[in-house]
Amino acid sequence: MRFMINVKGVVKSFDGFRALNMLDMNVEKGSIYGLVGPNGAGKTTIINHITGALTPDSGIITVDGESVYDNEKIKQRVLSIADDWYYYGSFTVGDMTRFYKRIYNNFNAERYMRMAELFSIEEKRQIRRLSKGMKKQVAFHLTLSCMPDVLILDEPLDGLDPVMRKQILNLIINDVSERGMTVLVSSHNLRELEDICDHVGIIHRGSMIIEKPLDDLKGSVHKYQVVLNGDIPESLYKKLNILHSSKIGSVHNLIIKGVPEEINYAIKELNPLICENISLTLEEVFIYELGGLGYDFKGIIV
Amino acid sequence: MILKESLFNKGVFNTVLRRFRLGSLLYFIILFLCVPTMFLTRSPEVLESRYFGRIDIDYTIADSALFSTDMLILPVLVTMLVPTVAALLIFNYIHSPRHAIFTHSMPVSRKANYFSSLCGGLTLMALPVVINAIILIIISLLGYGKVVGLIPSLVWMLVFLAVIFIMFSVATLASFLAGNPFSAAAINLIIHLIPFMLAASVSFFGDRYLYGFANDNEMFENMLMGSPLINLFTNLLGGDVYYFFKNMSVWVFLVVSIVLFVLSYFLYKYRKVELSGDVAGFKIMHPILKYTLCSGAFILSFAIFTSIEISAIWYFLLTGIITAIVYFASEMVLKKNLRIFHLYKGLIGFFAAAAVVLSFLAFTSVFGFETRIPKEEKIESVALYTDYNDEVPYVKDPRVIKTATEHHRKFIKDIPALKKDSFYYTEEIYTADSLYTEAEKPHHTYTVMLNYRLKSGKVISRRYRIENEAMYKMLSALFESKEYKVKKTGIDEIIFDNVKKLDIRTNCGDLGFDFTLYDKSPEFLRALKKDIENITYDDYYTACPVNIYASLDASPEENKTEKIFKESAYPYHYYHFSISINPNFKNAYNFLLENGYIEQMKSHITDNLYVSKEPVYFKSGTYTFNGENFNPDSVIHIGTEFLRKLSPEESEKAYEEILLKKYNQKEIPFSENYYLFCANTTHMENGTSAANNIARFSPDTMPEFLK
Repeated sequence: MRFMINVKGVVKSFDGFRALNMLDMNVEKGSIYGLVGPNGAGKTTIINHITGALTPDSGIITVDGESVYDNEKIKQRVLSIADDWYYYGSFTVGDMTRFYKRIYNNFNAERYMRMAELFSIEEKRQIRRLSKGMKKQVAFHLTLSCMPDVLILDEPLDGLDPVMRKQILNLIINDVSERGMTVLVSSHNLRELEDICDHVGIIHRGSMIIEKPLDDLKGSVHKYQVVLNGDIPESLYKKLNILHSSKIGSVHNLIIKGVPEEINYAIKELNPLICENISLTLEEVFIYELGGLGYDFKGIIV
Repeated sequence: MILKESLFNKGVFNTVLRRFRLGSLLYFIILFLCVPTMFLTRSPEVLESRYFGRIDIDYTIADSALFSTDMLILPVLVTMLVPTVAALLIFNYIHSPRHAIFTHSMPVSRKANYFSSLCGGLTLMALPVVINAIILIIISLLGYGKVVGLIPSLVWMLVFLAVIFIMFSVATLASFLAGNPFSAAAINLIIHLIPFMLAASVSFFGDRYLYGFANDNEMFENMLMGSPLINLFTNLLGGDVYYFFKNMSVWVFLVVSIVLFVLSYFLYKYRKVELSGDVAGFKIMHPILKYTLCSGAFILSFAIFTSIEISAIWYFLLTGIITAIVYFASEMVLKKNLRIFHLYKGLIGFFAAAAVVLSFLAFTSVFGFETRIPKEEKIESVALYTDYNDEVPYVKDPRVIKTATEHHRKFIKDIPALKKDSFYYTEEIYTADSLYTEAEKPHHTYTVMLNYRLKSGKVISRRYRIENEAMYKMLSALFESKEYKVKKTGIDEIIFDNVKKLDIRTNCGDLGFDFTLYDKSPEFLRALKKDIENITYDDYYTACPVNIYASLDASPEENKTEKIFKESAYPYHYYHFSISINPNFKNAYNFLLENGYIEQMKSHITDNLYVSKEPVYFKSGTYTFNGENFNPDSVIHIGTEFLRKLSPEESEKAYEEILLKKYNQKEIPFSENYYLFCANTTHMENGTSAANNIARFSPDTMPEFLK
């Protein structure tokens, strides 16, 4: 299968610190890929590689089958919005628009005009005098006007009000459904990602831990509330991959990785008084997955 | 629109223009106020009078007020600064991490980004110059043609464009070597100053520690002129700007600038974006910067501490401490971390290398300054310079070459490469009117510089401090060569028959007497040349240094339009001839005697010569004579007072003997008193006399012919 974004065995070190460690990542065309990971995991670093700003020490990064570094043609199709979106200090919104028009071949003036009604920011205003949220709006306005085939977003919705968030997400989803735009989005707001992503990759210490369709990811880790006559026997720990267990009163909370049928069968063998499978959120999956890798989450989730 | 795979990106170019247009406008205004406004606010006549001194003279095309220093100084300074600032601003996309990520995510190749930014920057800087040049041309056409000029306006424009191009290339290179704007500014300055620092270091250390090192040669100047900043500044403010492009170094700089622009591109091509914000743009530069700074600190502190009187242990210790501080500070800056002391091994390595280099210099003769004497058969000519101001052009006489090499060998005998006396290196000037006896004379050394021009065209220069006796022996030997003496005096450079006017002057302190030879000048010069060819060193420098001066000026007004000096004289500045004549110049002296000039001199001076019986003291600006103080400002009054008290009965000779006797008996300390007075008097109507001049002599400086 040919992926829109393909990252293979990428290694990048800064002053001896290995920011990316044999990272693999595959983003399908037309998908919305959520890149999650703790602080310092390497999310922004890999994004900067995919946009062609950085070069890896080793490994391959391609977008639509082509290397992106110093490749004007492919970069015309790849646009990104960083958390601290850069603009020229002396520029007005109009100046920045003209700049994007000159640089990006696919800049769609008609679309720009249509979106102008949504964002409604005066062209004469200097960008540096705008609020963080308004700057973000300008960034989305300009970027989406360039009709990107690949949109890379790093903490995209920070600073935006809920209405604007919803509207921007709608614009993105429309582009994905109508034009087959591929979106790679990195965010710590997992609840937001959960709503829009169809694929998720969890990155930790520069390596990809899990990369799955969101449904598969959520379907592989389960939360059970079990009440037994006594404690959970050791045999259950041997049978199942229990990521986490806790007890409140007589209720055991178990986070178990595996196939639901097998888990149900193993628990039923213990004749539980109560056995209930509760679906996990992406946030919980993230925390428990990283917990398995030694990431300290004690007390974060009950 | 993007021109795919193109060198030029219109978007980037326009963005550069748009972002920095105000800076360009500011530069335009400065140039406009400094140049066109200066013309527009004054009439052409006023400007002509101001810049050319005279009105209605025939100007050459090179004569333009545009090239006067006051019109150039501010524009030149600003034009040298503007490219540096422009490079820092335009190439900020490699210095600011956010800007770097943004720029390099854009669909613009590095090649297009670089060249478009470069073109944008050059355009922004060139436009103000071009527009001002157009304004100057218009001004020229509006009646200011004589003071501005069309061609000079174009030359002015090209000169400033060249300066921008050269300075921008250096600033661009510095920007791409550096990781952040501060280090870019520093590296830019370092690039400009490297030739100066090298020249200064070589000069300082060579002069101080290498016996035989001669720093007043072409090497120093060439090194210095290797700095674009110094070279352009010198050419623009010290040279003839109209002929700026006739200077070969300008073309070299222009070519080098193109190379620097290309080099900068390659630096950019292989530059890693993540290094934006660091001190250096490349990791490999870290050790280079670190050890360069360490070397600088080591050399500088070593130079300073060895200049003051402290023991070797202390100056090595202090140098070591300062170098260590600089080393760790560099590490802190480069690593952006304070915990760098575990990196001490690099410092130890540096000290080891420094010790090896110092030992190498101290115990070997690697520089060869102390031992390298060219073989006589390889020497084409030799030039010798001494403290006696004997600036002699290259002499080919084999006897001079032999004398030079023989004495050179003597100078270097048993002298180590590194000077031992460098810390107490004092220069004591032998003063002609000193009353020191031979026994009391301080230990004198003199500088002699030997320049060998080899048959291969190479020039080897050596300089030594030598003893008085060695100097005497060398000069005595050199005086056996006619060519040496003729070239030393420069008499052979005079076209005798063209000389229509020659000044002869004699003076006794402030009391002087001049007369001029007209038609007899060639005859006198021939006699003088004969003397010079045959005179010995002892006869040339008699004990009496003040005698008759013959001088010849090459100014057109003095000798009309005929050339009185040969072309070959000019490189050696022999367009003024002057020589001191004593009675040992027998032919010249006899000429003056036979023609009655000596008698004229004697009578003129002795008529007005008075000799004091008592010493006259001159101390702290006040004359004291017979216990009375005189204000030196009222010379006439002093002269009158002196004349009343002077006693002319005794002969000068007798009085001289008395004075010498007194001196030898240590009755009179030197430098506070003088004994012989000459007064050029004016007899007043009331019968008194007033002195126009007072001259004071110690006995041994009495003019020979007056004795």
